[in-house]
Amino acid sequence: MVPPAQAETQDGAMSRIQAAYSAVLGAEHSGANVTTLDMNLTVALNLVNRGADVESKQPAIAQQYYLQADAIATQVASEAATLAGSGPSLAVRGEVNLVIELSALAVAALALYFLFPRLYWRVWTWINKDAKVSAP
Amino acid sequence: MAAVAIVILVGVGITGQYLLVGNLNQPFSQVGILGPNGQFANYPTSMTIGTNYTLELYVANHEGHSMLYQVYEKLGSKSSMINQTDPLTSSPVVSYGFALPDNGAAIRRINVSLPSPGLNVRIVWELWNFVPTSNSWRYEGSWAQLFVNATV
Repeated sequence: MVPPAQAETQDGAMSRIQAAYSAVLGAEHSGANVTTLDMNLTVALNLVNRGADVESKQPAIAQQYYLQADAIATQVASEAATLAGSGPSLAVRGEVNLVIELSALAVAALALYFLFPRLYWRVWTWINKDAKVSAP
Repeated sequence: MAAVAIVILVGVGITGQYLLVGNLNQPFSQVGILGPNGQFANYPTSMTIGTNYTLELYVANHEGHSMLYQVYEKLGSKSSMINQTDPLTSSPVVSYGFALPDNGAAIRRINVSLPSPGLNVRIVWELWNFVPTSNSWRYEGSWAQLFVNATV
């Protein structure tokens, strides 16, 4: 990974954000939750935009914005790489959950099919235990 | 055996939807401009030049994955050309950045100020997204706009 620069330009900071975004896409593709990374990228992107707004009049402040954006983007790229590593297990976990849910549905339906008649008649008999049958 | 048949049918349906859902939805992105109260109302019809007017910018991502957006605020006139393929040719006055997860949306309060007087000044917010494969920003084909009279 390229370390953040000590002096940064708008293009440099933007390039790092774009690279971080590509890393986020990779992590997302692996099944990771990237919501927080997206939020941080939004912050970085707006720091670059704010820097571009003030660069002509306050280049030193713009430089600070670019450096902050650069640091955030670098952090996002690093976290995205970590998440991408754990991503496949997350994706598999989602598949396993689906299989468990479908199996539970099947078991519930079979239990209902085999046990409900017995249960129904037991309850019916208990409710009507004092009933008397009379000829019409 | 009716219950078993129902279970199989429901299972096939759920699995099918799970597998096909990505293909059934048409991906899209949205940009919109809301009035100062966060509603589609109370838009300014005239603005005093140099004065800040508060509006709210809305962006939503339904592309099926995270998106990196820039909304470019541009100025034009009634005759300025913009459509789904061609953005305004003028340079952005301000840029607003958004990185949104799939099905994410954001509303941001923005200040709009006009530099010079004019009738039917067209304020446009264009939605652009970053495309990693071409390493470039692409006009999304979506925009929001407001027509105002700019007065001294």
